[in-house]
Amino acid sequence: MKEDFEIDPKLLEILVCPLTKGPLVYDRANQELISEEAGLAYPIRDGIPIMLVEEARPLGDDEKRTRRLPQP
Amino acid sequence: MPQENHDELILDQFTRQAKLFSAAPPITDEKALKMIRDAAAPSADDRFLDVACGGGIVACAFAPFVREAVGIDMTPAMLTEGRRVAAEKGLKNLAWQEGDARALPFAAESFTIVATRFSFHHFPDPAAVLGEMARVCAPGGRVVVVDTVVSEDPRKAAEFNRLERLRDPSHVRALSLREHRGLFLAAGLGLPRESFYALSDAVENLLARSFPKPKDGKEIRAIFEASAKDERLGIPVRCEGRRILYSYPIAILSAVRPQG
Repeated sequence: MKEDFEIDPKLLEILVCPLTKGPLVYDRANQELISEEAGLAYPIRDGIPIMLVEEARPLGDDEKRTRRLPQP
Repeated sequence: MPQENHDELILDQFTRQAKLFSAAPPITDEKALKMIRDAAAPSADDRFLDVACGGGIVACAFAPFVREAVGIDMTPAMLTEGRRVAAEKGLKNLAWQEGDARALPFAAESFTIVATRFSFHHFPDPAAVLGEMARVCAPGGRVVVVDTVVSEDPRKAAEFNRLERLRDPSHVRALSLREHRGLFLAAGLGLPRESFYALSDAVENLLARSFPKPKDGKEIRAIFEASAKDERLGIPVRCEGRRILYSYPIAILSAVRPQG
């Protein structure tokens, strides 16, 4: 991941899950935005979040258990 | 048409159009962009969203006048083009976002100007998109829709839309002014303020910018020629020698999102 393609922090503040409109958790290491409620991980490619349900990766059961959402 | 097939058509058309679209002179028309800015009245505190931003022309036109601008589109090639153009113009307050206009991935009231240009005729459910635009717009913010408007005569409107679908298979339906107003009212935005301009060019250039099936090129030309005589498209068309010149009427509709 090139540095100039780093996701815009201001964008992170306003992004929500397109399905549930609920909060997202930024997984910097895997470049994903996690929607716990929807059980989906949205990929970030070249710094552009791909907020399409069809492109999202369904979370595994173990991931759902271990992830903790920050309180809104 | 099933939604997935329609999405594929959009992706295919716009991946091919990405470069041409942002370089085409009638579309990068500075004057038209200024009219859209005038309708939205941007200020240095505004957070701007360009819905179905395509190559990001509108987002780039607003970026210098607002605090930050975001462009969202479902075609990755268009976003790549937008980012390239923004870098070329030295614009640093822009972010790009892949997503669906029917389900915007933004919290309610995230923006103070939410605009979309030349997109409504691609949407099977424009009311849902306008509803999403209103949702992510803060009270007192502006919602702006720019698109081709068709004749209020249903036969002319249908013929125009048939022509557009031949030219661009991802075209769904351009709306009349009355239909646009109805959408604004239904979205709780009240009646929009309206301004207009014409997008004029030669049919040859229009065909070069889109990717109709080869056999449809001829039919498109024939429809324009016929309309020069009988006005079946409900838009200005005239023949100058072998060239056919047309004008698409474009409406800029803007409304302030009410409080609460």
